Amino acid sequence: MTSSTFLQALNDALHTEMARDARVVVLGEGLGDPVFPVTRGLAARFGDDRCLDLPPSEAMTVGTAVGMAVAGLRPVPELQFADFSFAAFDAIVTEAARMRYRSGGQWSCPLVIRLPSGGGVAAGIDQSQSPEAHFCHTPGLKVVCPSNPHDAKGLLIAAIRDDDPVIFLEPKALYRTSRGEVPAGAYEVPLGQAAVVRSGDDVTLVTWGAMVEVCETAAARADELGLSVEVVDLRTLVPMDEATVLRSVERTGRLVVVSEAPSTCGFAAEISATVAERAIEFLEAPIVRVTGFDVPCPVALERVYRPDVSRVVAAIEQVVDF
Amino acid sequence: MTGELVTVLERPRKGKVTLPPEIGESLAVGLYRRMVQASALDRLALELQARGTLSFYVSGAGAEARAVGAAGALRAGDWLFPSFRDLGAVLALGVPPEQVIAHWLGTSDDPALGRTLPFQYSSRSQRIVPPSAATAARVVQAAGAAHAMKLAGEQQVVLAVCGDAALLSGDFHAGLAFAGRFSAPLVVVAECRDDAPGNASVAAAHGVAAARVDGGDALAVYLAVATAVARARAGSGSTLIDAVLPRASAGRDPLGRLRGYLEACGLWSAALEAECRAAIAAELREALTRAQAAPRPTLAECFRDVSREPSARQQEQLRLAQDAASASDSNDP
Repeated sequence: MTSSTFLQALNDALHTEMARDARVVVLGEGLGDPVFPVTRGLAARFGDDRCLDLPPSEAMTVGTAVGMAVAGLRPVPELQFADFSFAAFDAIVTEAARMRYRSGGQWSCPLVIRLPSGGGVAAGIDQSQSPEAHFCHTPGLKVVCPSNPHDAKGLLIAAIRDDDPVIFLEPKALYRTSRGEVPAGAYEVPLGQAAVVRSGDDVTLVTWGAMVEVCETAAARADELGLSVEVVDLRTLVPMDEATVLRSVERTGRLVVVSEAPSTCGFAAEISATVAERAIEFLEAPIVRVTGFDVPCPVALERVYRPDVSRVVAAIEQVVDF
Repeated sequence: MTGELVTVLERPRKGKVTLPPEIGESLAVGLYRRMVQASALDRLALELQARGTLSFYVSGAGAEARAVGAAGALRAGDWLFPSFRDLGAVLALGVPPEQVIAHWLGTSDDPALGRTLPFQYSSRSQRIVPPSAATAARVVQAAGAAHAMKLAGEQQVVLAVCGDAALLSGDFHAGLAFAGRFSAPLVVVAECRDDAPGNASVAAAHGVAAARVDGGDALAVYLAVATAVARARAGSGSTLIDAVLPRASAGRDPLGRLRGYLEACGLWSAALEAECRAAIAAELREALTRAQAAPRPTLAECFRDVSREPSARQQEQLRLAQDAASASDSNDP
């Protein structure tokens, strides 16, 4: 076990998998001197043909990765910010997500697109987005978002070993601030499996990524008010672990979903619809979402934009008081 | 070579006409036979479209020399990222006519299981990767696949084919820039009009070699692609080949041009032509009959291959779709 930051755990995962499997390659803009040094040491260890330092073209990064994946490699393309994924949207949605289907299963596209996502680091409106909903809405993609270093390493390893394209969201606010115990060597955290990170009986909080810590703190605050709150860290958005979410809501009867992305058509809406469809008879109160706003998030707005402990506690009280 | 239009069929003829030394008789005749087959299949598709059997088809008429000549220069293990007008290439790589027709009709014998339009051929065994509707996504993907081949170290090359619309796409330039920077074993054949300026400067900007060939001259296309493929196999990098096709349809008779040349070489005749066409007609009639007898994919098959395993949601939705399908069947008058 080592105490690692979120970023170090990701770096560890890449070193581990690239040593284990010669097909794994990393590529992205300026890998030699990256904005977030998740790829540190890889080029020196594995060479320039497996760590490709590309010019600033997301279409090139993802497009060539699709070709590499079809031709038998396991590419892990990195974009500098999740916001830049829109420049590669066609490559992701039309090409990567559909290669297996379009070819009748003859070809597959085993790649992992790593995206530093979310706000909280004063990076401005074009470098702070959480765009997961666009990818959750695309059949053929898996969407993963770890909340801590242990899961970051295990989920990235699992994503690299998965035979289908994975959108791997890395909450950049956690890179250096989130620290935890991480086992040495290779291990997987299974895709499609949520984690109950705190048990409780009165209210279920469902969330992912940087909001997990906010929810854990809110749950502790609620505990002081005599409320027992369960926190479910989804870890994988698609495919969603509906069983864990439903099992929790069937017991508590109250659901709050927390996401830092904008409200309309965010993934929180999908969770809400799913629970309403399948567990209406268990619900004691309407489902409440605590989300970002339907505006871009400039630095000036960042403090109030991202759900904080008070907003989550207020939502807990709202569903309890209904 | 850059800028100069490579041709074989239009070279000045003095005395006896002979094949270029790099092209053997059976290769030359084989290219021609394949072009006849491609042209006949293409006409069949247009017939099926006129009958309403195919809703959407992009004809490869006029591209037979470009498609067959280029594919002829590949060897087993090489990759093709085809355009919509590469029926001739797909046949040249060994996909049988019955499989082509199965693909058009979208039957269970179609490797793509009826999921695509009738010009998005795919074949794992022949390393043919299906194009999407995008004009140039295949170029940037082919560049990536070429890098994978470089790492594999077995001297395989990747051929990507596109039209002139691709030049307006970022993916075209991204693919060439990558190939130039990483010395990928990639050959790109871009169909262009004879009144367009050509891509030598584009190739130079991306650090790849350029060539310009008469796209209606199968032997010239073969030579140009073979040269580029040999360069790529030797580790000397990528080439962008302009396959120039005349804008005016009067200039587009690649079959006639090659046939005349082969006749002048003493390798072809009217009798051989008649025999060849009759054999192909019989082959296609039989292939069509067999393809039309094959079943359609089931609803369940339409729900597979989104990912390696269907998700719980997809399985549930399949049941909904099946219920809806049988409800609408029973409501039919």
